[in-house]
Formats: sequence, C-alpha cells, structure tokens
Amino acid sequence: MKSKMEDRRWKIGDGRWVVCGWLARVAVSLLFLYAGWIKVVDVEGFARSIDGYRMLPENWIPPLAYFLPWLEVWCAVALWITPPFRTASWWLLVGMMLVFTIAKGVAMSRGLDISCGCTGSEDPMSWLDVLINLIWLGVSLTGLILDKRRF
Amino acid sequence: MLKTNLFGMVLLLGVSALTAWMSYSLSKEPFTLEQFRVSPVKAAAGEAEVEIIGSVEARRFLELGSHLFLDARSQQEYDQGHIPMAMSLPLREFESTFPQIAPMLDSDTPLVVYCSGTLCDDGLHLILRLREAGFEGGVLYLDGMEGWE
Repeated sequence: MKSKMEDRRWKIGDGRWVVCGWLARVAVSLLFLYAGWIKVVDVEGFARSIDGYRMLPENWIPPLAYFLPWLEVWCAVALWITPPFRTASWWLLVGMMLVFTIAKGVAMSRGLDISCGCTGSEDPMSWLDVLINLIWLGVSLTGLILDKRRF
Repeated sequence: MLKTNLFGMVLLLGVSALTAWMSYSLSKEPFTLEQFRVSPVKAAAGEAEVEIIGSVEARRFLELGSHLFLDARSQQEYDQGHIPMAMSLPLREFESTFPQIAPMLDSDTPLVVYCSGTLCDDGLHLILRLREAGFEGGVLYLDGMEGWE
C-alpha cells in the first residue's frame, strides 16, 4: 500500500520535474552556447577580460582564451547527447559556473573596476553580476541533479 | 558510472583543446602572448601621438613640480588614494568638473594624466578631451595608480 502511494507521489511529480529538467537544460545550453561563441570570435577581448581579474600568470591567458570558449560551446552541445556525455557536461558546466562565480566575487571584493567578460558586455561588473551567476549556478545544479535522477 | 562520467569529461576537454588548437592554427592572425603583452591603451596612445611616460619620469616630474598631475578616475577612487598633489578630473564628469580647473591652466601647462593602470583608457581619453579644449601639453602616465603603488 505504502509503496503504491510512494509510486503515485513520484508519478505526480514526474511531469513537473521533467519540465524543470528540460528548462534547465535549454537555458544553460543556450547561455553557454552564446557566451562561448562570442568569445570564440573575439579571443583577444576575452583574453583582456581574463587579465582584468589579475588572478592568472600572463602566459596562461592566451591558451586559456582559446580553450575556455570552446569548452563552453562543446559542453552546451553535449547536453543534448546521450546520458554519459550529458552528465559529464553538467559536471563541467557546474564546475565552470562555480569557478566564474568565485572569480567574480574575489574581483568585486578586491574593488577591481573591470567588465565581467562573460557575455560580451563592456559594462563594469557589480555585485548583481555575482548574484546572477549564483542563480545560474543554482539552475545548473538543478539540471545536474534532475539529470542524475533521470526523471 | 563514475568511470563513464570521467571518460565523458576527458573527451569533452580533449575535443575542446583540439578545437582550440585548430582555431589557433587556422586563424590568419592568431592571438599570441607577444600581442597580449602590448597594452591596447599603449597602442591607441601611439596612434593618437600621445607621449607615454613611466614611473621614474612621473616621480621626477612630481619632485621638480614641473607638471600638473590630473587623475582621470572617479571622485570616489580619487578619494581612496591618489598621487600627491594630483587634481581630480574624472573623465566621466568632464563637462561639470573641467570649468573649475580650467582657470588654473594655461594652454601650454605641462600635464601628467593618469588613471588606474595599463588597461584603463580614461587617462588617454582625458588627454584627447583636453586637446579638444585647447590644452596640448598632456602626457600619459600609463602605469597609473598600479605603477605608483
């Protein structure tokens, strides 16, 4: 009896979770596809943005400026491939989002007057950007968890 | 499951590295470390024929009292710390602040203009605005507050 009730409860939730999972996947893949591509076409601008954070040695910056945008693009694409790649992609995206959020938080706390370098905007970064990143981190984590549970 | 995920991650990292390498190799003008080392502000100053000075010269000018130092950063940043004797002329408030400073300047007063550092172009733009207003004697202290500290 209990098992049947539990079964029913999961079934009620199923549809909602599936929709949530899909929405998270669509939103995160579109975000990273866009953010990755605008950096792919402006490697120099992205390199200058990374340098603005003053966290990495100079000679790391050009290779990273080539590599990171493509990682974003491929992870966004891999979200739509079969589960092993999808889950791996979610882990990488959550990792990237976490690193970006920490980097922004550290830059803000150091009082750096820089643009974020995330989606091509030249506007100075603010704590609002950190908050937005945290929200995206939450969305990515939701996507990862829902994907692992395979609703 | 963990192994499969790790394999997926390694594959994604590998594909990204390969694509990045191809993007670099196939690019007509690949972006290199040497290019990166050239400050874009320095390049723009060169094009606008604005003279750039280093920290040694800036300190000498200050000791001699031969130049008037202008800080192009915001008033808030200026209040947090600035080069001794420098006057605040925020680029973003040029229209409102410049009339207060203009009476102290002659068209040939030697000026040293600076902002926060090598990636900041406010100092360069301030020199160009001053030129438009008839004050030609501005040199750019490119390292700005970063170099001074």
